[in-house]
Amino acid sequence: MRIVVYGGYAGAADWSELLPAKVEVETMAFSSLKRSVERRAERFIYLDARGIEKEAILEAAAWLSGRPGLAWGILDPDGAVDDPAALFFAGAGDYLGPGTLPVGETRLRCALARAHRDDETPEPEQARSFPGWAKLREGKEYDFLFCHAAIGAAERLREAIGEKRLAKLRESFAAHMAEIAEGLDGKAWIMDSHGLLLVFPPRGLADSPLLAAFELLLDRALVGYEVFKLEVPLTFRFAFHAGSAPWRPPGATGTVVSEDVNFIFHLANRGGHDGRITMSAACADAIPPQIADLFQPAPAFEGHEILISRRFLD
Amino acid sequence: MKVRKELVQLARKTLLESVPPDMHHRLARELFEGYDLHEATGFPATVPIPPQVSAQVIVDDALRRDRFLELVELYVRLEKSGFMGRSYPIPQLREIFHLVGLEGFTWDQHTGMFMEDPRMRRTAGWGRILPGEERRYSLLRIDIARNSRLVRTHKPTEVRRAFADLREMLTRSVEDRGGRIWAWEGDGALAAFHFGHATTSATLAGMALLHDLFLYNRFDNPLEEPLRIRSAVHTGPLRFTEDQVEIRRQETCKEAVELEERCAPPDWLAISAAVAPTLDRVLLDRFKPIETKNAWLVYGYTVKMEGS
Repeated sequence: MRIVVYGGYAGAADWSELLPAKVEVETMAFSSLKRSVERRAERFIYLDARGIEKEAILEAAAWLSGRPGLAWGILDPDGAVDDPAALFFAGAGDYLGPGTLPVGETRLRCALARAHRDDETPEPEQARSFPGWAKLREGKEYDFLFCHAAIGAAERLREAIGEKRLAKLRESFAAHMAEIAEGLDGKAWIMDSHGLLLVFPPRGLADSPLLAAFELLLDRALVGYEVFKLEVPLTFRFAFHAGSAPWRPPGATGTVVSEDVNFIFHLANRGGHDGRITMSAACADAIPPQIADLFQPAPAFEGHEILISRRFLD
Repeated sequence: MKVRKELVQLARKTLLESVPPDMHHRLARELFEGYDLHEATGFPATVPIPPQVSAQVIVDDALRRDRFLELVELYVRLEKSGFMGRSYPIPQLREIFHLVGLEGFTWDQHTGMFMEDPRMRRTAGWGRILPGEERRYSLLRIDIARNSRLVRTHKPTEVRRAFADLREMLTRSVEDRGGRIWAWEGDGALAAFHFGHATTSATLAGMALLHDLFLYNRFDNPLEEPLRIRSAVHTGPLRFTEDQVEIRRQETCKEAVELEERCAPPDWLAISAAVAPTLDRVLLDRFKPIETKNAWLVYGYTVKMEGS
């Protein structure tokens, strides 16, 4: 079982004495609550009441309660919340106060089950054809959100760091992207000579990989220097498309025949641009509204309408 | 620093069993400049010091002078790099690491030093620097632009929330890179970096904060306008103290504040001429020269998109 806790400085929280050892706890910054919830398809999150003002909790409560399919609770080890019932009126699904903590796994599972008992949120139409990774049947066609991720300006990099280091960098980048995809409920699916094709459940079930790609473009200087230890500038290029493909597990994709998979590779390799996200209009609804103005229409590609992100200037 | 008895005994045992007696004096001089083991033990210069005594005195002095962790780091260096061309296996290191961990310190590969375990505590001096010690620091200074207007024109709860969020973002970007927040004044802050590549870490933290703010202003900002900061990185000597007023009086701090106030426009990170040459080319190339009224040589970084 895994739970996500939004609180003060993420690195400071230590839940090992309050939550069961078996439960994987991910701590996230409260200042990025909306962005993170927008990006990730969480079903249940906790807010850490320590260090968050009452008004901020109530404001977050109103926002969280308006999101279908998402339940939330409060972790309050110090008893900072003076009226826990008010939080339930505001839509909370659980309250773990000083009298309840430390808490067992069963208790957490009960809260999750109860919070979703009245969940009548209709699944998005498109998502019906995606039963979850564990239930995919080999050879059967499913809807996916495709993302092709590659290192940008590869020729310039080859000249600067050499073929051998570029090959190593590509490997490290693929591993980094695979880790990010896993955290967003996606999978690294097919490698090609330029980059890596990631697959995600259709919009509505998946976290927002598009926002993750946008963050990588924003952070490219930091990622290049701190993650990949490069002494030369690094950028990325991303392509997104929504479509369907017969499912084959990673490593056994040689026989995948899909018009949409062909298209995403064409779009990535012939229609993509360094430092930008290029996407077919089929997945335009994957763009979070808060950054929609940073995308603009581009000339059609192979019969598909295309959107392209504005570039961060160096 | 308080050290449990078990660790003190292990440190003495290590010195006694793993470091030859003729090395004790040299090792102690590595730790304390001009150290005289005979004087410290009370043995006349003509009389050999029993190894048990020298081991005990050196460890006790390291404790008394708050240099115990440095002594343990010397053990690590003896095993990893040797001393004067000779290597010294220290079989007790594993147990020492474990016990030092219980004191709230973890081994940092990057600096080759024990650092405060951030899960247990974060102090202004990283648990390693004593008040009065003068060292070179890199300072990241930030200030909320048009703070008074924000306070005047928005609800206090919204302003408090936005400022708390900024503090959290700053703390994350600073502490993730080994820095410490030395002062938070409500509308501005001062963060310090000392260990490792301090100027680089301070610069990266400032850049990361601007990136965070770019997304924060679009997704999480409760105000109806962007939260904007001026920021600056400067480096120079400072005498460490936990007294914020005393820190602010020192020249390097005054220069950092002046750099931020006079040279950094809102949404920009300015770095001083003392910082720029210490950065790797790949980072420095992200900075552009900023024109200043006082003809200072200052470089700046901001997040900019085409068409904006």
